[in-house]
Amino acid sequence: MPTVLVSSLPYLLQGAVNTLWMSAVCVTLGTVVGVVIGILSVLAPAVIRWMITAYVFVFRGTPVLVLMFLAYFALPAFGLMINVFVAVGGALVLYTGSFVAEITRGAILSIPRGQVDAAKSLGMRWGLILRQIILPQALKMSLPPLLNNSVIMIKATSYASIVGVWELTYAAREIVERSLAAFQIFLGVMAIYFLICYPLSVLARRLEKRAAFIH
Amino acid sequence: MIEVKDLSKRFGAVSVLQEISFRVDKGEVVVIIGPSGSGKTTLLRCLNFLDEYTGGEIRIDGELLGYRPDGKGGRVRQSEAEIAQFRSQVGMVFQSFNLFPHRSVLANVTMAPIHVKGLSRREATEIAVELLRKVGLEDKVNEFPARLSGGQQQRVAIARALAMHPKIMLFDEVTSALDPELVGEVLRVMRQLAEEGMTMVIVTHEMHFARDVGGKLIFIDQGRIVEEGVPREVLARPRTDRLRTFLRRFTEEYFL
Repeated sequence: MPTVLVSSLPYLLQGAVNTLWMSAVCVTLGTVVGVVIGILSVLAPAVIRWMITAYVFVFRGTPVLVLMFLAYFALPAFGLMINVFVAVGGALVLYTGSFVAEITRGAILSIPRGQVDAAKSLGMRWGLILRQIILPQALKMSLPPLLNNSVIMIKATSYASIVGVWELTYAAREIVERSLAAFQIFLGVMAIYFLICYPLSVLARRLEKRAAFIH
Repeated sequence: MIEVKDLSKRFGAVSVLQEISFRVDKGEVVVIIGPSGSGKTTLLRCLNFLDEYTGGEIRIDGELLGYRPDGKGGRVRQSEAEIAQFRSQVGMVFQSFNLFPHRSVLANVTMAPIHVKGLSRREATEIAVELLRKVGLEDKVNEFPARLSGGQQQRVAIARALAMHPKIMLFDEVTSALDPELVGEVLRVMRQLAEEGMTMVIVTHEMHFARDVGGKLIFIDQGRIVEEGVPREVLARPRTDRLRTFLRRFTEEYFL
């Protein structure tokens, strides 16, 4: 019965590939950027910390779609003709980064200060304390929330379709426009997104259980 | 070995320590007692510059701790490297153990010797195993801290501090967080250390330990030294009302 869906599947799956590409690049980059910024938000001099706070508040306080619109329209206004994929991807990277920064920062600050006291009293310096004590625990603790955040960002890529980036949601809308079989198409698209996101959620849940056991 | 002269410490507008002066000789065991909030933990933390004292002097073996004269009659804070270097010679054990939960017992003890002193893994492991044997935990070498009892964790913490071969050991109420039946095993280790001649500064509520092992007792209240002397005497014949009041809650439990 879902004939339109079945015949459109190859086209949709091509779109899904684009979604996966975009997600992989933006989420990975955004996570790396976010972890670095998160670490700096704890350790850097006051001026930098202030700038980071501003960045995090602004990007977490703006809908990702608005950020994509800004990237799409604002950059040409400044005379920068950038490929739409890069512009929108960049917006997503910065958006992801702001959330990852907060996750990282929270994880670092949650390491009990007593451990840092103990490390200092053994003669360890900050670089060593970070490498051996703080980051191994903070990063491990961050994995479940980072994975959950990745799922959110993968879904956010669907907004890119509104500014003309061709990916799964864009492909779906094209087909719906042509065939008007909205229900079965979007149900199918929902299933595809679910298949992409579900393994990550399961992994996050499993890591959560393991972390709970150790502490 | 340790000379404290007119030490004072403020946190912002609040003065936590004032006019603290005392000495700790090599091999001496100094016990510090006092009500909570009296500043005794802050005093201990000043001795390895975990808290930065704001007035007066602390000298270890004659050298000023944490500060350098700035050539203009004042003083400036030493660099992180200098302070860290100094701290590697002063061991500290904490009330909440503060073991590194993500590493094994052995790794906890060998981490500083390897990364701060530059020892090889083999050398550090030898030292660590020997110390863990000394505190009675050689069979827990590969365990993780979460699997150990409080008393065991504290003994690991002591071994970890000793692994750096410190000149001085600081103990901050190390048995206060332990179930009563686990206190003994930790005090036993501390007593042995004292008998071996380690210079120790101990903040504790264990009065009988203070009386039996301490060479000097200091009673601090509201940031000042109120009484000082040989533990047996100070505890049996307190000269001030404040000490008498403080000790009252112990006399039901201990025959002092």
